[in-house]
Amino acid sequence: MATIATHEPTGLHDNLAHTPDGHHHKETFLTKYVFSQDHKMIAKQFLITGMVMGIIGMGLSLLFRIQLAYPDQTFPFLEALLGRFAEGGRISPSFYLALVTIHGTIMVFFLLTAGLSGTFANLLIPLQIGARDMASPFMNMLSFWFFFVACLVMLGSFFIEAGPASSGWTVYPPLSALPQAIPGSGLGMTFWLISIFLFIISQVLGGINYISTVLNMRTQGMTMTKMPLTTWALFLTAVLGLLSFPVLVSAVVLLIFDRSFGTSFYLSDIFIGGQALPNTGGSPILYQHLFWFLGHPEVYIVIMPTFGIVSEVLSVNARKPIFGYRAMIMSMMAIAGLSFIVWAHHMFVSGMNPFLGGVFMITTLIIAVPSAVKAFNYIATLWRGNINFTPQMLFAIGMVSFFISGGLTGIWVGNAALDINLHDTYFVIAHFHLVMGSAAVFGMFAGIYHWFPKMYGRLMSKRSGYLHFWLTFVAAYLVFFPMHFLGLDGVPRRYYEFTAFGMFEEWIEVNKLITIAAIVGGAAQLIFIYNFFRSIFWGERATQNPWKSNTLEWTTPVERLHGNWPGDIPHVHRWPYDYSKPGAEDDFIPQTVPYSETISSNVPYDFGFHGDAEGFTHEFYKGNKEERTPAKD
Amino acid sequence: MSLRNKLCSLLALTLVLFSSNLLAVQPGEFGDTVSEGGGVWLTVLFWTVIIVLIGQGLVILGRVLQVYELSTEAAGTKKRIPWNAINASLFLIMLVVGLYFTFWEVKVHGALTLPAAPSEHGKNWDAMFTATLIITMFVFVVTHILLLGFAFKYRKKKGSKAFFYPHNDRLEIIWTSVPAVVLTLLVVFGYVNWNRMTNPAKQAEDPIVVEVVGRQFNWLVRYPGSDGELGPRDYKLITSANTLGVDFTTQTSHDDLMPTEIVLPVGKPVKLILGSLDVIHSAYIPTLRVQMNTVPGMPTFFYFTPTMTTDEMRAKTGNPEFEHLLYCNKICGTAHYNMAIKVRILSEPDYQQWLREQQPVYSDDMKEQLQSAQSGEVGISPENKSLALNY
Repeated sequence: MATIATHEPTGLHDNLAHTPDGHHHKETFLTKYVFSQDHKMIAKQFLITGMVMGIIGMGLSLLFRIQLAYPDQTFPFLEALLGRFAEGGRISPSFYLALVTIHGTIMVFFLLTAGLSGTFANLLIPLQIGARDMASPFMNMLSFWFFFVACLVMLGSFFIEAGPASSGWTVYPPLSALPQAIPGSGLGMTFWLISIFLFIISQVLGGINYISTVLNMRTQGMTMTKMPLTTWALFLTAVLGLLSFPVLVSAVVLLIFDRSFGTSFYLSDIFIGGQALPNTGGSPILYQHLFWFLGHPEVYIVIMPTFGIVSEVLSVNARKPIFGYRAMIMSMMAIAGLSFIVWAHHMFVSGMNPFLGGVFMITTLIIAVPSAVKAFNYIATLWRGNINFTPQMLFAIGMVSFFISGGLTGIWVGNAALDINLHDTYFVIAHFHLVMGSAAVFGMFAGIYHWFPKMYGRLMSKRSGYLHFWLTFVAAYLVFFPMHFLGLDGVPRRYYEFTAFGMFEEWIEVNKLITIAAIVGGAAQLIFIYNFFRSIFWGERATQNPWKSNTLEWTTPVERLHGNWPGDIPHVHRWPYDYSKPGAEDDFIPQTVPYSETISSNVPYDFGFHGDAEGFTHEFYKGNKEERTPAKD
Repeated sequence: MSLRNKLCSLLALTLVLFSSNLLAVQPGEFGDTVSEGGGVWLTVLFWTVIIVLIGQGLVILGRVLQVYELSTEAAGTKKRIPWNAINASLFLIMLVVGLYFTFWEVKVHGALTLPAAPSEHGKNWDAMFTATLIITMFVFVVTHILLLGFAFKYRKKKGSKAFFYPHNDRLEIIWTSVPAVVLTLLVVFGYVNWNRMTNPAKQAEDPIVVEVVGRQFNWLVRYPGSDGELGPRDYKLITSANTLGVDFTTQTSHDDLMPTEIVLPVGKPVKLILGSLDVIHSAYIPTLRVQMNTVPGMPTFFYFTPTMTTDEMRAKTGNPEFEHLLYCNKICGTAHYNMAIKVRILSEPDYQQWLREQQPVYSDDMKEQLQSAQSGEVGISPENKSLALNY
């Protein structure tokens, strides 16, 4: 960046991409597509890798859904596909657990952390704050490649003798520490730990970059309170990740020590496989504390970027300012702060001191308040809008719906007393698959449809988008809504079959419904994949600002230059949500338009007046134009 | 286009050629075809063809729509497909269907959930459950009516303009403080209940003590016997005979009972002492609203009081086979799904009768085995251990 910054005032960046000899940017295939240091290319690398991982993760879930719905049928193709893991066409119990473990790991870490943050933070932060690239493009490249290697290691664990890690995505010791406890805790678990270790390095490298870019490289006029909510969300996400991922490193390192070097951080008084182990004095609960100190911020790392994406998409497509911009920032900050003191609500019945449970219940239910504010603000943004149902808008509305449905059950499981009977049941599965699974995935889809033109210069097909949305929306509710009732009947998660002791047989029919809905939902993603890759090459060409949006990324040319803007970086004069402002010519005023050019639409609110905006709008409609504060800029 | 068509017809041809074979392979016969392998790939091919054909159909449909739109545009008529109105209407339909689906789910699947709790704290749990359900269901319905209703109502229409409405401090204060108040109520309600259920200082005096210990993959139960005290145990003393590693050199352990099920009297407070021999398990009796993890190296506790016998529950639920089960609810290994033990609640006299029938675990047999183990023989081996597995 330093080089670029030095040259910036001289305007050398005109036609940067077209003059390979004018600079140090002689691009080969290797530097352009593989070891690229351009933030837009890295974003695409993250997106496509994340999508591939997401498809694999979804595929794994379909495999174990087949087992759950048809426990007594054999499927020869499973044996053809999985070999010894599904002998006779039935998934083996230990491989079932491996499937749920790797499904969870891939979805939470690889798709919804790296795939989501990695894509949109890389793509949008420099574009939306007006920077030529990230603070350290080289570290950015490293971040992707560490992530990529982590993906390979994680998938590689499917090819080892005993199979991949299979102690649940939370890998609680002693189960994950002792190879004699479950086959997956042998080499598979070592692969898992190495992969996550590499993943964390990637996240830290990325996070430092995102934070320093947002703090230091905003263009002139882009104050923190003029930043789009997307950038705010990605910034706070990066802060969360940077503060919490290192704690997971410590958990992972101690687990590696227990597994390989005979320490007893997590192990104590264990008799397994006919042998009494020498370890004493360790505490498995210590691991849970360390894990969830990351694990809880992690669920906000997953959902927060989509808060930003959805705020932007709702506002642009409802042609209305996001309701309560400052309240949105405050609520995100509150969520970010509180997310660090709620971790033990995952551990109410872990055996920790019940007093702690009480404290963590209080902090947990407090975090529901800013979340509720966000949901209400989204709804208020739709109110009296002029809604344009692009595919991204459909997905944004779907995200809000899932966020509400899943968030409300958070009030149940966050209540320590209720959690006694709900903990680790299908109720919890329903809860988090709605609130951080479906909601985050829908937010991600919204982002992909919305910013596809910024990545590939073309538009995705709308009609396919509609079909994709409606099938996925209905399927997701059909999959996850009935799971609440399984949980309320005390059906535990991670059960290989429901027939072992005749308590849940009535749910097998429901399982069939869920599995069929999941397969339909999975098939709907094929529409998306087809649409995505077709549109890269043959999509309709995008105009510079196809959605009539205010933010800075739409002032860059369609060609996506290295360095983003051909000339000087534009200056910013206003907040990003001046949509349908009374008195303005168009129904949007980009951030680059100074107030001096919009005399007819300026309101006191633009100059720091925080009174009743509705009042001012009414004043305007009465025609009291001359009484309003004169514009200055 | 032409290439795709060729590919498509090729696949269709394959489908026709093999369809008679495929139809012959019924689900029940899959087992026989495994060894051949050909049948498997035929099935895979079959589904691939189906998916490709559906995809092809969708692509053709898309083309038709596109051509229709382009032709209407060229003809100058303004009758384009009103996608905006269609999507908006779908949201409205989704709202109605979704609310009905919610109602149907609560009615049909809700009926399959747990019966009212026959335990003291379970009644509080049920009360809190009902309160939380009503509040969240209300919010769920109202917010979805607003969200999907607004989506329909404020769809883009010709000549309409959005209302510039960036914020309203009063509204925001209202919808910050109302959830805050409601959540405070729920927190207080929950905190009081949680404290009552789990705080050791708030539990009844002199409970019946039962130790439940999880291991891969069954539960071991120990009653303190006539002296009311459990003997100490040490995981290093575990043998195939002494599965819990009870220290039989102390007097208090000699009358300990180890039945194969948990039996409790109605109306008496119970203290479960929970432990684990290997990995973390979770002792879960959902019908009684009981759950606590079992942690190796650390005892955990749960207090509860059953209020109905199993027989009474059978009569009440109308299910003559009703049983309380304690099963594992924390992933613990390959047979995690098959790790349950029966919990029977009896009337006081029946319980006393049952108690009298139990033999202390420190029998003559046990004495002999312990002596032989002490005299240098190896008491345990992996083979012995595997006998205890119940899968």
